[in-house]
Amino acid sequence: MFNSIGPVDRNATSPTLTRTDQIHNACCGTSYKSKLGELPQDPQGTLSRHFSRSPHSVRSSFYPCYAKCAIVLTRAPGSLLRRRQIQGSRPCAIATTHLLLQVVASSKFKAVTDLLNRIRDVGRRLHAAAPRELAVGNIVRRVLGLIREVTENPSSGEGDTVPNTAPPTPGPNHGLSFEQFTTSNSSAFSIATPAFELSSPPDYEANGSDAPSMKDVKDDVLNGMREMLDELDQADEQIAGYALEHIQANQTILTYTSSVTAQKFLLGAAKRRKFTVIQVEGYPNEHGSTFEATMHGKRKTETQDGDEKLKTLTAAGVTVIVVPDSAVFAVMCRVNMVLLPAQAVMSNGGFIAAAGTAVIAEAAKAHGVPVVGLGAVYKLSPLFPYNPSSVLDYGDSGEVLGYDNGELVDRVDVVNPIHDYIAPELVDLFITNIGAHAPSFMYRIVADHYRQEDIDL
Amino acid sequence: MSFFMGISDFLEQGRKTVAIALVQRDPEGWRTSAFTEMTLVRATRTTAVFTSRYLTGYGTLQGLENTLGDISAEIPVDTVELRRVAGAVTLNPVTQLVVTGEGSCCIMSDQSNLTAGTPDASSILKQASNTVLQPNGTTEASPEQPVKALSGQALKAQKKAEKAARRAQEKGDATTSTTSAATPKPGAGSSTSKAPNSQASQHKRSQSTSQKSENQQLPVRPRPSTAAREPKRENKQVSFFAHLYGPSRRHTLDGVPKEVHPQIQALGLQTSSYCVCGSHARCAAMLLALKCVVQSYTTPLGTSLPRHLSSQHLSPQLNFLKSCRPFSVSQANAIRWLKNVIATLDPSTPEPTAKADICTAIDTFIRERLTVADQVIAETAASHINDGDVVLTYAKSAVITQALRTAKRAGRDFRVVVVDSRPLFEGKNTARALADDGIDVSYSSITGLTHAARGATKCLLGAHAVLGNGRLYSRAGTALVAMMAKRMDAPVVVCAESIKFTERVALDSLAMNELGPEEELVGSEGEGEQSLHGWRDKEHLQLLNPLYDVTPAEYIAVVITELGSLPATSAPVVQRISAGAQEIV
Repeated sequence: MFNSIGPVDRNATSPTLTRTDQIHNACCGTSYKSKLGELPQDPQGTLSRHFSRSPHSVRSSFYPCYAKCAIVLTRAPGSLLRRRQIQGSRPCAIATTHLLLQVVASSKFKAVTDLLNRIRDVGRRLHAAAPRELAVGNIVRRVLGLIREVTENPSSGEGDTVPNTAPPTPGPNHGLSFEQFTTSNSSAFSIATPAFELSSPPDYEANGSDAPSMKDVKDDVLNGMREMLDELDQADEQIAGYALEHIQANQTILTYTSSVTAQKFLLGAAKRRKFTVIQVEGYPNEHGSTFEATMHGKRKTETQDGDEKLKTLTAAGVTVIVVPDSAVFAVMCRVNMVLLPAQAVMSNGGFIAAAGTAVIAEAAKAHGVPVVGLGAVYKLSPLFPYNPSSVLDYGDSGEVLGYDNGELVDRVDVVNPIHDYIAPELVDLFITNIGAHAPSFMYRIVADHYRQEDIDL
Repeated sequence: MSFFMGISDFLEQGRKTVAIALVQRDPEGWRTSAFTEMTLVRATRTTAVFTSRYLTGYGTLQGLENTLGDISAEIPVDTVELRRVAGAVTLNPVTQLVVTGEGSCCIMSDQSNLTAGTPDASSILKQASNTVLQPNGTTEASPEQPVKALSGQALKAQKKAEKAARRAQEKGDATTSTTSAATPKPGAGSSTSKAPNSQASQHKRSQSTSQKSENQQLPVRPRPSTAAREPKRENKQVSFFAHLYGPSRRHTLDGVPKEVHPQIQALGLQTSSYCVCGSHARCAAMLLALKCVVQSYTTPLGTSLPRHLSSQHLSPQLNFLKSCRPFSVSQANAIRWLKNVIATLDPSTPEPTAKADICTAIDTFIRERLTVADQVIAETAASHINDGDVVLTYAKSAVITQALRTAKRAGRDFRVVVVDSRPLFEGKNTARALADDGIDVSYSSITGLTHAARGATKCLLGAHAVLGNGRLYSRAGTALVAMMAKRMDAPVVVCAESIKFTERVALDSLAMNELGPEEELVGSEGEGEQSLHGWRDKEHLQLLNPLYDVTPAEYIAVVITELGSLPATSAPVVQRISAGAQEIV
């Protein structure tokens, strides 16, 4: 897909890239350099760190498609999203983070509110481009929350050692979740860790001006966003880490679609356990990729090397039974657990997944089989699904009733929904990269990750 | 396959020509490569001799284009040897085609070059070469007859073939110019065109002697279908469905007992390939085919029709049908009824009267229990449909389609949502039929069921069977549709003729079910990596294609039968009345 438009875009956007660079260099070079003298900390180190980490490292770590997305987005926001050239919650989340990273890195702001407004503006445009891809909005909200958090708890110049040594595993807000939980509301953000309390306020006040604080804010935001990227990268592995807790030997697990998350989860359990997977094919939208994942391994499309594939479950020693969608009810009585990868998780614990998931969850409910949803934290949306159909998407109806059916196509209405909303009462457990939770608790995880004031973009 | 259909037809109906398909083995499998129309020269009790001037459509047979000429076929139609030593077709001058009963063909461009498909093809070939069917059509018999090498049956067949061929040759020489023109004398081998043939025939002879010992080891009755199978592979049976795996469904006519009527053979293949699909259609088609069987039946001496017909004559027919696809509940009920009808006939009734009685009974049964029953059910079901209804239905059911059409004809304004699923896509037929009648139809795959079911006000489902505990046994996926309809508060209406009621019970879909061929799920060739081609080579990978599932009775609001509407749990009542009625009819 990218290849088809590749040459055109590359030519068209290369000037933009350089222009962005110029803007960035101008921004960093002039505004920062001019303030070098005023910095009490080692300016050279800060600057070098800044340069070594921000624009270049960002660009080098860019996957080509995201780079292009970001570039295209800055020019014509969201056109790739709008054309669905970036699809799936993880690619969208990564692309959004990269884009916002660039926006933050290249923006000049006098006050934090400027940056917030800028991010919110980009976020709105991205959201308008892909209104049904909730991960985009989630990332934007988390970046906004990150900026707020950084300004409320400025880490100052000494913070330069913190991001480098900080373990990349949890999300930027993750460390605060416990405090938040105990203190119940967004006021929890005001409670900082002791290290910050001791070190940052004196520095912050010692300068007596806003300028270094803006620079530090930017620094910390960028670091926080890089950690978000790390989190995005590692979320699937972290989820897979919980697999052995939930899958026991000789169980039969029914799963639907072939998401990387679910495949890694099952592969994680397959390292130690022998079990059976019933793979529902998901005609007409998912069966192709499901078959490919079953026969040849799931392709990790969003990684840099697109040909890299996961091991197949059968190669890992798992017995895989492929069944048509119609057989779900028939086999459900032998299933111990239904594993359903989510595309987005709502704050009420319900989730959005590939069409057909809701029927499977209903069938599981009818048989009393536990339903386990899988989804990383970045899929958590603070939205409440008052009207779930507003976030459900529709695909090509030709997939359902092919044009080789002749005149029949003209005479019947065909709808090809590609998403289902699964109500929280159908889900028994939700496994995210920060642990397993009851669906009724998901609102709390949501509250940990988003600021109340950012929920409306 | 078509070969033997043709032969049987031929003998039954006294036709003068028969179509013969020559099938060639490809890397992919068997491929029909030529069709020829063969004309009867002469038929005896055991042998039919065919000739044909033209071999048509053989463009795929490489190198045969220049060999268009007379084809004579030697087909012993002896009961056993019909399938084993089917005969040989010679393609003058250089190619010999041996047609075997497996619908396969051995092509011998000269004696050394065999594309033998089935294990017994080579023995047939040798027999042919030893007897009459030299590539150039001469009747010269081999000097060394491998008599001792052949078993009794093969020997018998060989002798018959030899004799018949000799006669055919004589006749051909005497009467038909076609064969004589194409039958050069052995001495004519000196001409340039014949030189390779004489070599070939010599070579053939030496080959036949050298392969005598091989002949000895050849099984008399090989099972080509199993012998041709590839080496032992991993068991692909899904463990919790293991009790449902039977012998794989028959798709060919090899090894069909001679008694099986051509109509039954045709129906068997139609059911195994889903040409005739659905409980109602299969039952009606089976009864009509059995009617033909009864009509062409003659009571052997020393026995009576009621004693012989059902036990001796019908059982091979039914066994064959069963091997093509297990019986539906309706078929089983109909068979029980038919056997009862035959058993209660007065043995003293003259045969023509008895046969006429049975045929009348079958006609009555089809009319009353299927045709009229459907009309009654359709009328009742149509009366449940009101203006503005959105009717959810799944796959295909003849009676549901009829009910919806009836409602449309009654002027109701409603919409139908047809839900469909892989691999059979029966719902397309429903959608087409309803759209033809001007009904507003939307079509959805079962993955879109939640969307399709939204707004549904009724759910009409057909049945394969209604079980004794009130559960509905129907096409896989029906349970999901009923479940969603129940969840959307749309009453689930099941339409089932009383013949579909059974006293068998099942709690889940595993207790009774039928497994379709796994290959139906594999996907089309064009999908490349996105299909399951080669799944049999993947260790630990299994495919499961259950054809039915069992819908819990609590999802079903009402079952409409021709005897009335009742809750699902009252199914045994209908079953009792139905079984009682069977005895009365």
